[in-house]
Amino acid sequence: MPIAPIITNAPTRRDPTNTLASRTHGLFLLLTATCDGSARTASHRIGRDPRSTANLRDVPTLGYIADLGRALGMSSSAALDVITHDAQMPHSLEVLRDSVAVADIDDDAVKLESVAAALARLDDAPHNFTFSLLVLARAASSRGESVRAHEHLQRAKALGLAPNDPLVTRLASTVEHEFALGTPWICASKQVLLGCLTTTSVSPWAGLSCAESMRAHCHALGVRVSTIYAPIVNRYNGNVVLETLALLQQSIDDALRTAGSRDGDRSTIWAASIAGHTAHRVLERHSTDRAIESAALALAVRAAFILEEMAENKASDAHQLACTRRARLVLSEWTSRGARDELPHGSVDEVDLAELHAACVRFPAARDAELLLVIDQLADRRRNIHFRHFPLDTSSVGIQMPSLVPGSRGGVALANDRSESRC
Amino acid sequence: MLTDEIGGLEAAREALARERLEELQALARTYRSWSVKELAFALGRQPGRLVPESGMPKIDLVVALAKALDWPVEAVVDHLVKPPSETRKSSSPMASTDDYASLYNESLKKRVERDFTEAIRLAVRACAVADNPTRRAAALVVEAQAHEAAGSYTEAVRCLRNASRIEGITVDWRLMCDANLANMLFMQGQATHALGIASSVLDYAQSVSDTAITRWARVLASWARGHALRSSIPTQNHEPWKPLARSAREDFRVAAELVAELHESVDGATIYYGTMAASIESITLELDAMCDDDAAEPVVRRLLAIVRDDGSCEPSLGERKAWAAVALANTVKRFVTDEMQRRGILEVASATLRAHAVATTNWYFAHQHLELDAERRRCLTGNGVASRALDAVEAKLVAGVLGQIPAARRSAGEFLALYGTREGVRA
Repeated sequence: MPIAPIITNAPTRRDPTNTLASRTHGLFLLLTATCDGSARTASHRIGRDPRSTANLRDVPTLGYIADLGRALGMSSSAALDVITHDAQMPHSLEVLRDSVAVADIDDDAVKLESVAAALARLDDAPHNFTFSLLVLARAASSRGESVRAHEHLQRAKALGLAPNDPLVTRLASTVEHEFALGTPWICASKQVLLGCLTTTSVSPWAGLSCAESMRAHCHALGVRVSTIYAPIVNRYNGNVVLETLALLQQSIDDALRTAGSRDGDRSTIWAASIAGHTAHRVLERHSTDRAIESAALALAVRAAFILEEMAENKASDAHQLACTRRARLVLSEWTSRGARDELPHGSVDEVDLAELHAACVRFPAARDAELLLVIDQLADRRRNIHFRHFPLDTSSVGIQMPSLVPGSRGGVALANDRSESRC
Repeated sequence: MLTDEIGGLEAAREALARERLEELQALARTYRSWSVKELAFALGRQPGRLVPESGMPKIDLVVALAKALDWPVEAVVDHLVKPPSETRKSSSPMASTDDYASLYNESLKKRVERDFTEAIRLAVRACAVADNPTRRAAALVVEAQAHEAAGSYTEAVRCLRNASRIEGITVDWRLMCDANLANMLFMQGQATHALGIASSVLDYAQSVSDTAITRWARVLASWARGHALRSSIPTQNHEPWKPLARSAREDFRVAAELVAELHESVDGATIYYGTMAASIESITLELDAMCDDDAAEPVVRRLLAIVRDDGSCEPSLGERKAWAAVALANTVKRFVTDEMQRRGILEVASATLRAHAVATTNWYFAHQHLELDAERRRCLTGNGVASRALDAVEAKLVAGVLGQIPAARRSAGEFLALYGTREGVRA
């Protein structure tokens, strides 16, 4: 039986009990101070026996923390955050840059976000601050929110990024490419594709010795196909499209030869993911060009199989990357099927639903996609799975920055602007 | 009877937590593709004991679950303890436009009168009777401002996020919501997010028609972006940060100009922008010193004069003095080398910030005060002098800052160590 991956720094009952208990006690002492130093009054305020609060040795329950927080005027989550906040985050720029490099190739949004926050706190140089914005852009991109990622990137560029920094160049180019390929559940906009038509260039063959260069190469190929064969382009060169799709197949072959090693697994996952995504973008056009259609279909199927296999290998340290990229491909596939009017009529297969469900857990923003609403309705007929009314309100995660989407110019509030400062 | 009722509530809370814990564990299994055994291993529990009998998990389980889900701990806790989604009461059939306007304006009035509870209640009612998305968003903005004034930053951010998510609101009010959100995030120490949102507002505002709301949104966004940039500049080795200081000063200049325009354009009405205009002046002084080293000494003198009300006994605007204290502390840390002089001025700044924070429950200023105070305490401990016990007022400031400013929690351990002494505790 495969062993569950060990989560770094995951607390166990043995290790941080003392820290958790002593921090909880520290919070209780703070409450005591607000009660003019009376521990008895403090205990009464949280509805506990003074003897139990005086000698807290075991890990407390969430209920205890909630009561303690309420007495201090904090929310339960804030009180727990105070107690569990990890102050061990590395603060050296070098360590953080290394973390960014690893998280970037692992497409690890959570890690990227936490490093971005740590970078923003560094006082070493002004460009760390803008670099943190770039890292945040990369995090948004790995959450599938390419538009928001692009906005962050533009802001970081406007504030000034360090020139000639290979890591900056790498992150910026990944964000740009993912933006051009579009959100997994939304096709890239017309403006984006038109913009890419003039700027796309395929990076020269670099031997693809590492996952980063393989990703950059595949991205360039993917963007080239997506732009020259975009639905907005009336005249295209079919041979170039076929040739580029073949190059993507070739990239997967090259990557597969190195699979099994740490870097090789990542190369394979990125190559398959980008190729599959590109293939679905081609299929979305629903063209009559049979050669292109079948080449794209073959690429899509192959990519899906490779990612499925990689995602099943729980022993691999690229398992999470495989799961994330596979979830994106699933959403991309359904978007493409929706565009081709190939959605099942009447019912949706149980396995497909479970797959979509798992993909939505990774990309909660996809829940609002129009396509999923249609599937939602189909699924409702058979079982009670809802995508829009997902059982969890993941918005409370609070990691999503609202993007500016102008509303319609409807009615204007009668409210007068009296937004005055408090004083 | 009351005991039964409390017991019933406790049982309901535990039942809800149990149900949600199971839900989250199922989600973690889907997310990680784990079996029950694998999940139990990751959570440090026996497979049969993943959900405690009481339903209320120990906090190590909550933390491990958050890591398994790749969620912030807060999100997991919110989900476990939040009551079932409460849909706000729909508008009564009698509700009309007049009701909305009067509720909205009454809420603003109550806030000015510092009756924040009533201001929040009225804003919630205004939101409930609002007959279009823009009005709903406007009511949420007013509710957020009342929460902020009452010292509940988390609630303020929640309201503003909700307002930003409403579809179909007019552009100017959308910008207003985002500008307010940027400001609140800056107050909570999330400078990068604040910078991103404020920049979006300023970029977008250029392409929309100029209304009073748009202008006010631009003021707030410029203010928030200026602060986000200013607060990112360190007090040591600040030389390379001069371009950023100049950008921040430009933002404050724009904000000051817009405030002056707004002040003129609505002259006669009960609208005041004086506090912000005066506060900008204090803050700009800090940036003047950054951009021109020769200006440091006169800037320190001027800021000290503002903090001390120019030696007058007449009280002036508290917020202006508090911002001047923030600017003074930063400028002194950067430019004053004499240790005694430096400590003395920092004491003045700290006391000013504390006074304003206590009077207005402004946690941003309270945080600045605590940072200065912690620095002083560290010096005292270094000299072999024990730190003193907290008084009740200061303990409330610590609790408020830790509760409302997430950025302060990275120093939570240090705060609790510095302040959580057993001195003065009586059983």
